[in-house]
Amino acid sequence: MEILRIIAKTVFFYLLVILGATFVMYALLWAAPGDLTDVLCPKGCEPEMRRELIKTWGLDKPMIVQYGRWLGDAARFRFGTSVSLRQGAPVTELLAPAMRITAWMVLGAALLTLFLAFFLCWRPLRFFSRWLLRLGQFPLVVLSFAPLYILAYWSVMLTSRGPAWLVQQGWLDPKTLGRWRDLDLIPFGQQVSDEAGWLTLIPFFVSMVLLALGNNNLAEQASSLRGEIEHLKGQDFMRAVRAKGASFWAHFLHNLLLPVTQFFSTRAILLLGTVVIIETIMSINGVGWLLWQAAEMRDTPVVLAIALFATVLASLLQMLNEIALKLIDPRLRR
Amino acid sequence: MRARDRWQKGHRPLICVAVALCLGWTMGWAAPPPLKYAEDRAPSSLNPIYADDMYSERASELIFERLIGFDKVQKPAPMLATKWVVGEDKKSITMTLRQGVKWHDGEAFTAQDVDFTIKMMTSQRSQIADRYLAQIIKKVTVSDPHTILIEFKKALSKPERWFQFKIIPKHRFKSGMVTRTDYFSQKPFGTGIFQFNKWDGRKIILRRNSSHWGPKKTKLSGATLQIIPDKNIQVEVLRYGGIDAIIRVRPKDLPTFERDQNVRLYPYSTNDWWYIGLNHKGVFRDRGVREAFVYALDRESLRSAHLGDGQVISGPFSPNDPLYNFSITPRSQDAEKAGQLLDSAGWKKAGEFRKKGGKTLKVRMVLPKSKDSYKPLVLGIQGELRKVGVDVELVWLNDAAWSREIFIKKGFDMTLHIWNFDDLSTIYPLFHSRGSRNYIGYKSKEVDNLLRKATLTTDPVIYKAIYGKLHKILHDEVPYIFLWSLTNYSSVVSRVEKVTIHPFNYFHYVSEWRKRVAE
Repeated sequence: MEILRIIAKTVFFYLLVILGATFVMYALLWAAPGDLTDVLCPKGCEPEMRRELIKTWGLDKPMIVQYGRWLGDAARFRFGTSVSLRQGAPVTELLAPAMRITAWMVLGAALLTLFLAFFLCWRPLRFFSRWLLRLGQFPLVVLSFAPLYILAYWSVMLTSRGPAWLVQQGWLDPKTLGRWRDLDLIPFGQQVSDEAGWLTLIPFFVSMVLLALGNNNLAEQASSLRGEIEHLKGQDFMRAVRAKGASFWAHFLHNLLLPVTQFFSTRAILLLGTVVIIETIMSINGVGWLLWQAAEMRDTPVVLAIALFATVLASLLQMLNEIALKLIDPRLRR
Repeated sequence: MRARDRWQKGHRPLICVAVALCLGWTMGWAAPPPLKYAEDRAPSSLNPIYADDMYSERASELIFERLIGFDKVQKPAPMLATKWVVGEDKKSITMTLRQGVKWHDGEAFTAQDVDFTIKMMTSQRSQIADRYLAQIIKKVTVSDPHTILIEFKKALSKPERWFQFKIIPKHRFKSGMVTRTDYFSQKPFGTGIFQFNKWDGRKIILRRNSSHWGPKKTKLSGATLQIIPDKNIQVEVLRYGGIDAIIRVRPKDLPTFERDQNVRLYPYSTNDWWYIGLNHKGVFRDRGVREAFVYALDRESLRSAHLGDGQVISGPFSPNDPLYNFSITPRSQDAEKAGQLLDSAGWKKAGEFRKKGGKTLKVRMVLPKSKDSYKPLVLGIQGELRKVGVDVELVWLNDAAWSREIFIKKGFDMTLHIWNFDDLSTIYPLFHSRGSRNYIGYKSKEVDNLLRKATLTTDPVIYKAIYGKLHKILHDEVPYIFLWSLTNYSSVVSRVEKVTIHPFNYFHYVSEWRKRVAE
C-alpha cells in the first residue's frame, strides 16, 4: 500500500511536469515569428486564402484554446498528422523510427558515461598499475572537456575521406562500391564488402560515444561518484559488515545502487537535451533532427509530439529513479 | 541420337531460345535499372494539388499526368486529353479524353476525375495557396465519360495553356474533399509512368507502371528519390555511382563534373528571375534613390562571381520568356551617377555614409536563412552599396519569420528574392497596385491600366506589345532592382541517355530517358 501511494504521488507530480513542459513548448511556438500560413505560402498568400488557412487550422483561436484542443487529442493518443514537414503523414509514423534511434542512443550513451565514470574513479592499489591507468584516463578527461559540437565536427572530418563515409551515412549503396574496393579510398584501409550494411550503424555508435564523452564534466561526475564510493566504504555499517565477516560486496553494491541510479537517470535526461546537436551534425534520423526540421517548418503537431516524448522519457527516468531510491532506502519514504 | 540428328529433328527452336537467353543474360538484358536522383530535402506533399515546393512538384511529375503536356518545342501536346477544341469566342474548351487509361489501383480514368480535380482546385474550402483556376473557370460539364466541356469567365487567348495541372483520382476521396493532411499526400496514386512503392526514410521508391497507356513505355524500371541535404555529399554520391542525377548543380561544382567523363552536364533555362525587392514606404519612395541603387551595383560581376552562367535582366521577365523586351538594355554600374542621384535626392556624403537631415542612409535588408548559401553574394551587394555611402544592415530570419516580416508586416527596406515563373504566370499580381503579391507597395496608374488591358485582350500580338511597354516602364520606374536570370545545369551520369529536361517541369520527358545496365 505504501509503495502504491509513493507511485501514485510520483506519477501525479510528473503528469504536472509533462503538462507544464508541453504548455511551455506550445507557448514558444505560438510566440515565434511566422506561423503555418507563412510556411504553406512561401511567396505570400492571397488575403482570403490566408484567412481560410487560419480558419482551417484554428490559428485564430486563443493560444490556450489551441493548446487545450491539442491536449484533449493527446490524452486520447491522437497526435494528428504532420501539417507541413510531410503533409498527411501520421505523427506516430514519423516519430516511431526516430524515437527508437534516439532512445537507444541516449540510453546507450548514459550507460557508457556510467562505465567511463567508473573507469575514471578506479584506483588500483599498486603504484605502477596506477600510473598505467592514469595514462588511459588522462586522454579521456581531456576529450571530455571538448565541447560536443567540436568533437562531432572533428569525427566527421576525420572519417569523411572517400566513399566509406557515404556508405556509413546510408547515402551510398555498398554494392556500388564494388569497383572502388581495390582503390586506396577507404579510410584506415577498411575493406568494404557488398554485404556491409552494418557500416551504416557506425555513425550511430560514433554519435553514442561522442554523446557520452562530450558532456564537459565527465571528470567531475567521476570524482563525485568516487566521493560516494569512499563515503560508502567509510560508513559505520560497512565497518560492522567487515567486522562480522559478512559479504562486503553484497552490502556495498546494494548501497551503491542509490548513487548509480541517480547518476544514470540524470545523465540520460541531460543527454536527451544535447542529442539534437549530435543528430544534426552526424545526420542521424533521430528525434532531435526531426524536431529541428519540424520547428523550422512550424509543424506544431510534430514538435509537440516530440516535446511530449522527450518529457515523458525524462519524467519516466526521473520517476523510476525516485521510486527505486525509495524502494532501496526506507528513510526516503518518509 | 547424335547431336546432328537432334538439331535436325525438332530441337532446333529450343536450342535457339536457350542460346538467345544466355546471350541476353551476358549482355545485360535484365530488367532496365531504375533512375536515382537526389533532392536537398523531402517533398512536403506528393499530392500534386498541394505540391507547393519544387521537390514535391518534381516527385509528383513522375506519378501524375496532365491533360495537356508539352512537345519538345514547348507547344501543347496531347497527354490525358487526346483532342481539344476551343470555342469560337474563346470562352470555352471541349476536351476528348484518352480511353483505356487506368489509375495505378486499376480503376478507369474518366471525365469525372477531371471534373473533381477542377472542383478541388477552385473550391474555397481547399487549402491551395494559389487558386488560379478559380479566376477563370465558370462551369464544367461532363458530357460523357471521355468528353468534358469547360467554360471560362472571360475569353482567353490560349486556353489550352491553363490545363497543365495534374489530375487526381475522384474515387480515392469518398468525402468529396481533398485536404492537405489526407494520407494521399504520403501514399499517392496517379496515371503516370511510375507508381508509388514506398517511402523509406530518406528514399521515395517508385516502380514502373506496367499498364501505362504510353506508346513508348519507359525504359526505366523505376525511379528513386534520395534525400541528401548536403550538396557536397550529393556531388560525391553521384561521382561514386550512388545516384544518377543532381537536379541543379552549384556553379562551384561545374568544373568537377566537366572533368568527369562519367557525368554529363545538361543546361536548362527556366523563367525564374532574381531581384531585390524595395519597400516603397521608406527611402525607396524616391525613384532617384531606387535608380541610384541600381547604378551602384555591378550586377554582371556579382552574378558571374557568385552564381555562374546567366544574364542580367532589365525588367520583370527572363530572357527565355517570349515577352522579354530586348530593346531595353540593363543599366551598367556607374558609381559616379549613383552618387549624383543620391546627392540630388538630398543624401549628402558625410564621412563613410550619406546623411539627410542628420539621418544616416541606412537600409535594412531582410533575408531568409534558407538562402544563407548566398551569403557571399549578399556581402558583395552590401560592399558595393557601402562604396556609394549606403549602410546596409543584414538581417537573417528563419523562413517562416522572413515570410511574415516581408509579406505581412512589411518590416524591411530591401530583400533578395526569386520569382519562379511557369507558362501561366503573369506579372499582374506583382505590380498592379492591388496585386496580391505587390508586397513592396508599388503604385502606378499607367502600369495598372496596361495590366488590366493585357488581361482583357485575346490577341497575342497586342498582348506582347502591352508587355513590351510594361517592361520599358518598369525598367524606368525601378520598382525592384532587377538582377538576373540564371542558366541551370543538371548533372546526369553518362549511363543515362536520351535526356531532355523541361524548363519548369523537370521530369516531363522522363519516359524517353534510358539507363544502360552497368558494365
